[in-house]
Amino acid sequence: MQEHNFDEILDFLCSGIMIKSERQSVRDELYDHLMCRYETNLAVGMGEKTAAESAISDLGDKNTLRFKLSQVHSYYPKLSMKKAMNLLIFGYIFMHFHFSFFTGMKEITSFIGTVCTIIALYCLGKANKKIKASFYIKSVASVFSCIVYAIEPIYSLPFMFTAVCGIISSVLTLFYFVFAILGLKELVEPYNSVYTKKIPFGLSIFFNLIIGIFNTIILILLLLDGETSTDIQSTLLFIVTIFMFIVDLVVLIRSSKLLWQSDHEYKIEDSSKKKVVAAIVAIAVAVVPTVAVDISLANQKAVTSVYSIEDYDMSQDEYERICNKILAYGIPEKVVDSMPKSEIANYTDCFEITEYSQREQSFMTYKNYYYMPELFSDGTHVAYSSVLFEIKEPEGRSHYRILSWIDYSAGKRKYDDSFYFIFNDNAFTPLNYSGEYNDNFLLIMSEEDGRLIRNEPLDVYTDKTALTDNITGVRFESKENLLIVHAVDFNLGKTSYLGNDSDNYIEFIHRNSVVSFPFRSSADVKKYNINGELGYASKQIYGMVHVPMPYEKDEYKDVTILEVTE
Amino acid sequence: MKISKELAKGSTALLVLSVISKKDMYGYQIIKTIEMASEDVFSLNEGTLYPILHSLEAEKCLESYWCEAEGRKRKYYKLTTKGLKELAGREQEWNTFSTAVTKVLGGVKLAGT
Repeated sequence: MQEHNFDEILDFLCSGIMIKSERQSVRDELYDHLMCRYETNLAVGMGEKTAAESAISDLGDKNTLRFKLSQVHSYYPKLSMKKAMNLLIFGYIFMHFHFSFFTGMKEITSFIGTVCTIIALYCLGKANKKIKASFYIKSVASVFSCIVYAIEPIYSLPFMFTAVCGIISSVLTLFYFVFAILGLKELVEPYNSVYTKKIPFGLSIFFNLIIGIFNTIILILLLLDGETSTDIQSTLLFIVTIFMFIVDLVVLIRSSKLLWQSDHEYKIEDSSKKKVVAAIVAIAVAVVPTVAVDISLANQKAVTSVYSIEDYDMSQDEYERICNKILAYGIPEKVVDSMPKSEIANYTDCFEITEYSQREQSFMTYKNYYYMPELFSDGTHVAYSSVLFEIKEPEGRSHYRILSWIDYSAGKRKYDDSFYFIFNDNAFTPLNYSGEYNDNFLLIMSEEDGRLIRNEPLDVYTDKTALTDNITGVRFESKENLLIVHAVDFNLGKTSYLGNDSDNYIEFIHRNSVVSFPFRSSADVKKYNINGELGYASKQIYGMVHVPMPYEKDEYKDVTILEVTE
Repeated sequence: MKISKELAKGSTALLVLSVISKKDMYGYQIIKTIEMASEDVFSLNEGTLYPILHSLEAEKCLESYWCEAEGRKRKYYKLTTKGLKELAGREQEWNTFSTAVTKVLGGVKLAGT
């Protein structure tokens, strides 16, 4: 049998099929077909060249065949208008509701919402150019969001880089939805007269612009200096965001209904497919390894050991004397009981409680207490709080020891994960300005089978500078009940220091979500929001230990422990 | 007499399913069979046939298998149970359609008379 080479035409016809095995299969089939035609043509007396040309021309329009084959063998989203609109609504809800009652699901629901929205916009973009623009904008914005939310928390990118990415993401997010709304408006306009319910396109655009611009301004101001938001601003932002959400949903649902009723359909064109795949792949590439790392970290278990406080030679009388003095300040017994004797010894000469009350005002004054919305958030919630305080150094006092503790519980619906415990060093860098020594104490305790168990941290992060060698972060296995006690020394300079640019808080990061406990104590048991339900922080107390310079650990002269209540 | 593309468009899948229901066939054979059976009224080109075959296969109405023939690989299609149901449905649809068209063309009864 005479063979003929149809490689050129076959390569062209199959070039739109992305999957290699399918491409080869279609190629083999079409080759057989062309050969059948070719052989038939030869049989009726055509020359070889003419027979081959005739076989090829019988294929019809080659571009059309190539396009149709690429469509049939395409794995790109091809949704009907109805499904695309449903997907858009679904994605919008998922992106805005973080389903915090499912612990640890925030990132996952947000990710699902983003992917659904991108696919829906891609499909709807076939029907309208503005929606197509919205698709491109959203895709790019998602890549920047990934940098801020998924990559940065793990790999700690430079602040300026993250901030700029956050601002770009915020600006693009503002435009993507406005473009989508404008596109939808154009789509439903021909049918609007038959629909009795008004679709509030204008109001939706207005709210989105307001929120978007406000968020962007806040982010830019935060970039310039970190003190731009107040309680009122956050509350206002939250209320406007809720309004915006309701209006947006009304627009989407009513537009969707109208398009169903009008039986509007759009043609699927063979364009931009690679771009949408690239966008989705980019998101997946950014998120999948992050989630994988997160899960692998979450599965690590802490090394535990039965715990004893007997690590220091101290008489029972002396031990009880110091403990009673600390307990008098309201520090819970279980905290004192859990502290090893070597740590208790640091408080040997602490002031009696009567001295504490005299010193409180002169030593430290709270100036303000304010909230800042989470940097680069969607503007709907407050992520951490901070306290502004002024420290006036009493004469002759320059060295202090802070003691803090947190009752922590992972809650019943515990996500198998680890937490980051960060004692932010920013607060201590200026305070350590004249310091030469920094000592840390950390205890992570759990009660298991009626015994006190010490949990070793999974990881410890330290900040080594010329002046400090401080524990800045500790990753530990989350459990239902943990008691975390932390103490750190710091030094004050010889002049008064106004801590107005310090971020003084203890920060928990659970699955990349920042949750902070303000750097002050509270007599009330408070439940702090860690993804909805995880965290309980009861009481934080810090004690100040003073020794005259030059600092030597064994030369504590007097000690005071302060409890500051709200 | 050739049939216009628009008219033939809706019935191509029916014709393809119908000829395959009688015997497993490959693409070129399907085209030739339809041409012969319709006495050259229907002349499918490859640009129409193969996308339809592949779509029907993706919808599980058809299955395919490869055989060696004349020294090269050849892909045969066979009807599945789902394809059989699909064929029955389309046949019924076509009968209803053609009967209605015939009635209208025959002008059985003029409205309002």
